Amino acid sequence: MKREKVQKNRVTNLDKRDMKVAYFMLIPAVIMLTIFVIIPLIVAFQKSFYDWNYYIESVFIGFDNYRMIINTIYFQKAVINVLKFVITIVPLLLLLSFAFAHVLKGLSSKMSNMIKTAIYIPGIISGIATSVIFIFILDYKGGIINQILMQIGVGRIGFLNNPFWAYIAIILPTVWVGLGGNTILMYAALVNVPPEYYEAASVDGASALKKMIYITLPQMKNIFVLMCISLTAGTLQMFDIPYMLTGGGPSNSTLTPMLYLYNNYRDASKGMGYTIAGAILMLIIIVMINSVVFAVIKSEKSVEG
Amino acid sequence: MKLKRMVALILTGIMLVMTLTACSSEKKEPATTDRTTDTNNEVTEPAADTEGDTASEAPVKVVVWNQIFEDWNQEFFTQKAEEYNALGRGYEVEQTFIAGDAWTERMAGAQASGSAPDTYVLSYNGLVSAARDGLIMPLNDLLPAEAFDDLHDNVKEMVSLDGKYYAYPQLVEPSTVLYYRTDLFEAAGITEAPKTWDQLIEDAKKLTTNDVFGLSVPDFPSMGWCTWGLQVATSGHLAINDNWDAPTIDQGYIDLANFYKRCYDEGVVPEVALSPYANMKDFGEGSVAMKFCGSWGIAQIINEYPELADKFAVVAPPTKDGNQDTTLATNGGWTYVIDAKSKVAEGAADYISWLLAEDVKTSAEFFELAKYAKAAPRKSVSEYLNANAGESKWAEVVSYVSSHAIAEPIYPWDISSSIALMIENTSLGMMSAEDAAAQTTTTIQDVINNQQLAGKNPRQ
Repeated sequence: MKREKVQKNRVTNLDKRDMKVAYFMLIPAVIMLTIFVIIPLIVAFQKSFYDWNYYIESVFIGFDNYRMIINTIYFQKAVINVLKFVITIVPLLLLLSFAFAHVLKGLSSKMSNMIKTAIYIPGIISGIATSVIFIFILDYKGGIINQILMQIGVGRIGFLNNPFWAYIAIILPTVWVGLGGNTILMYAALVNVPPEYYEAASVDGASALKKMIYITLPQMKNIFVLMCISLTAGTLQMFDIPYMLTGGGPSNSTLTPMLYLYNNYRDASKGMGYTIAGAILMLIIIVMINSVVFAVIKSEKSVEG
Repeated sequence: MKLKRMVALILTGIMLVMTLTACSSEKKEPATTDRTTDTNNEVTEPAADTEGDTASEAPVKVVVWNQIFEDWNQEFFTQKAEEYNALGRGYEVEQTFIAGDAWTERMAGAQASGSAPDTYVLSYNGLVSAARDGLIMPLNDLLPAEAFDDLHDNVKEMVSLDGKYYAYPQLVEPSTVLYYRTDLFEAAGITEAPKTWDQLIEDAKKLTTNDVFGLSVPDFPSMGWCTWGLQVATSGHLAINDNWDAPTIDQGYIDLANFYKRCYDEGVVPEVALSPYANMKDFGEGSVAMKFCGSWGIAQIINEYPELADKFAVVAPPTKDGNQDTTLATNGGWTYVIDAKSKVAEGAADYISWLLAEDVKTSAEFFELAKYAKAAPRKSVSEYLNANAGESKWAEVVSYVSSHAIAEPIYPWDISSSIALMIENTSLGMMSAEDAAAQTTTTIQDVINNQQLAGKNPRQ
């Protein structure tokens, strides 16, 4: 047993040569990451401690930028808003894409491919274009829904001027855009579950619900983790759809941290260090939340791995 | 195996070269057309191609950034730059027009990389922070003293800080006047423009139909700045005291918020603004019968909706009690500043001087094109316009409101946006005006404490 383990861990000359090639091929990616991610992150972290100005000498102010942004009620409100979006959008997308994947699995190959293509199309449209589509639908004066409401004698609804409807108006396009890609991921994971497991369960008389709970969900654990992490991180960084549809309103009810930081970046009265500190704070929040997601789901390598 | 390694090496080499090339690529081709528009909504009017000229003959290039406003405005400044270049004063202007939405990002990027334009337009309320942050240079030694002596006193104050002039003004325009459709007034039997808020709402009720809203009030985010004048008209002061250490939200602010709430409750304004405050689209398309907007809207209506040219009128904005001999608006507008790092400050100053501070007729031409919807910052230009202006039924109103307008406040935007939020919360019925005022007082005090504003008013 011990010998077997030693053999397994021993690196052969062939492995060494392959590793050299692998490291060599990683160089471009590492250079790109260093230039565009690591160095800017280090510089940003340093600048967040300064009252930073392009033209006059920057002044070191310690944690003042962080203190200011943490104490800003608009930023606090934005963080609360985005957490609300996370707890709505992430489970909604997980559930819907899981359900859609099941439907796809049950369809014929031809029909399944057609539907996969149809639901994936919104995923390749940018958030800005999606927002424009939803503006056509929700607009107060010329929107399709309000035109229909007027035709049937019901008054117009200011969808984007009512906190409840504005919240829904943000969620709808976000889910619409995300559904296709996530469904494809779910579908890929679903078809990878060995059919023998289901056959064995059927022999034992397991119901469809029990098969889902005891076979499908555990087998798809890793894909759930991946989707939870990516959806949570993506939602926490929401910007384009609220920016286009509501501008953060009404009454800041759809203001997200990224939108708030963007608005501050445009506010000349605030230093750049303030905005950078906010961005770093968001980075920390995203890392923390994702760590919690990891901890809650207790990710492990899949059985096959 | 050797082949595999070779392929890997070649591929890696190609990727490395591509990476490094991408990082260092630069556009080197000159523009081939006279006017180019890039993906950033930017229009560049390049200086004439001087290739082939000897270094001693070549004029020094002055880079100017202008904002994209109305078409006629852009055409005017394009033409002026060409005229200036043709004069051969030793400098050649290369003017770029940039959309307002992209301005901040472009400017920040240019300032960070040390490639900011030599001179650019800046609004009055951005001057103090730009001067304080060292982004722009004082113009006292670059422009002749007579140029500043010619400015109206209130404008002098608007472009100066600590006894130095940091900008030369292009125009002054009141941020709020009331536009109304004379034909719809006549059809509704309304004979006089409203002067009080009560009259305004009553008139708006008469004008509201299934297709037309009686009134258009500012969209909520714009309430932060376009109500500055009304805030002073209603309460006698702005939202914080002169020492910048305490909020001053009182009954006047509550009344102002309740006025907008009444407009919404009565159903005379669209629940969602049909166009932004600064844009006359809703009025021009006949969706609203009355609209608050800045005086710049006059030129927009005449140029973009010529069918309405004889069907609208402009009056001073109604006030709570009908007193129109009080503060009615703020005076906003645009100035030219010189970047603090400009290496051709003299050239930039020469262009500004020629464009705005020398020949009265050059400046007057702009105001004629603007249909006298904007006020001249120079005394000599005002006198010239008064003596030579064509028939303009709006010049008098614009001049009156402008003379009853105060300078835009320079305190941080968070304070103004708190007022906008107060009006929004009240108007949408999310809380009473009193509760919204109390919340706003707390918010503004937090802003004061958080940003340590006490005693930092640069004009105090």
